[in-house]
Amino acid sequence: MRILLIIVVVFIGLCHFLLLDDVVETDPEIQTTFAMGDFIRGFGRPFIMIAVIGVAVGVAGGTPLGRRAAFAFLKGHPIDDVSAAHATRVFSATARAMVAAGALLAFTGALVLLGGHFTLRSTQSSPVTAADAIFLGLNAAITSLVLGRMVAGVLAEGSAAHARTAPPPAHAFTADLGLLVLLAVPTLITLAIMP
Amino acid sequence: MPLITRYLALVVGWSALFVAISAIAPDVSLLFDPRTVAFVTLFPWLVACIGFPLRDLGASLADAVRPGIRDLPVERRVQSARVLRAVGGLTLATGVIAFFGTYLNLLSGLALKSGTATKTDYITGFSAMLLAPLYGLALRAFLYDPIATSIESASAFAIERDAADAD
Repeated sequence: MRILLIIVVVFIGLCHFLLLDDVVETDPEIQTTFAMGDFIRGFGRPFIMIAVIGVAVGVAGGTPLGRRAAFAFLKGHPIDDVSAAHATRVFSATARAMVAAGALLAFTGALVLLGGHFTLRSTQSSPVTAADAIFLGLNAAITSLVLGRMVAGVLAEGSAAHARTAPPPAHAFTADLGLLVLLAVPTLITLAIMP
Repeated sequence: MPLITRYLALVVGWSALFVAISAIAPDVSLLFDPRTVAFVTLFPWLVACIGFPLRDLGASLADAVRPGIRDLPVERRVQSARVLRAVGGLTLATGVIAFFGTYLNLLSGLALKSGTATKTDYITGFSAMLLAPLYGLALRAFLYDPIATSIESASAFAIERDAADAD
């Protein structure tokens, strides 16, 4: 049940933009330059990279008991107080690593590719070129938030609820406010491409 | 704590926000987007189902609107506050995710204009992008956190009362 919910949440989280606005592609020329399909397919590499980094950090950082408890919690099995405390640490480390990996990809990837956009600006200046350039950054940012802050984060919160001895791993208000830093990437790029 | 006191932060916070923005922009109807509101409000509860049992989520919702929470067991109040704080954090994160989704829609809209977009198009689109983080931040700061704090405060009161009774 929990695994199924995770799949549903990840799917909605990655494709939520289809719910928020009427994304219409009617012009065949535009479909070749700004293809939503390219964007959706672009989730592949960031998804794999962020998932691998997160799981590796969780596995490397957790104790054997923590790894077993985390896996049991994922499968929906009941866990005791001590196991829950260990699982919480595993999920928290995973969440932090995923968000950090996504932020790194978003900032460095987007800025490097945007540099390419400005290099081409004299011959090919259009919002479409800039949009292509930031696909990687957008994919990475959305993926890291969905996998890290949403899935791994809420797993950490949920397992902590079973542990009386462990402090809640609540993503503190100030820590969540840090997510707003990610807003700087598209903001700066929008200002840069504004006519 | 009376119910009206628990929701005071929500009423005052949103009113202050509304007054401040209406002083700057005459048309505040632009600040309301039903689809974004629905996404930012509902999606965090779906995500919370991953980590918390449904009965805990239901109990936290019930406790949020229950007038006399001091009569509830301490464990339940602590758990309800924990769930509400978790949902509040997820709400802010959902707002940030929706920001990126709206940004993609902005880029798509600009592409449809085939390079003829004006500054007004950019500014309008950028304003729409900021709505989701605004909703997420306001919901967390003015709704979930104050309610969780008030439930926890009642819990602390009950612990002190029980300790005094024991003495």
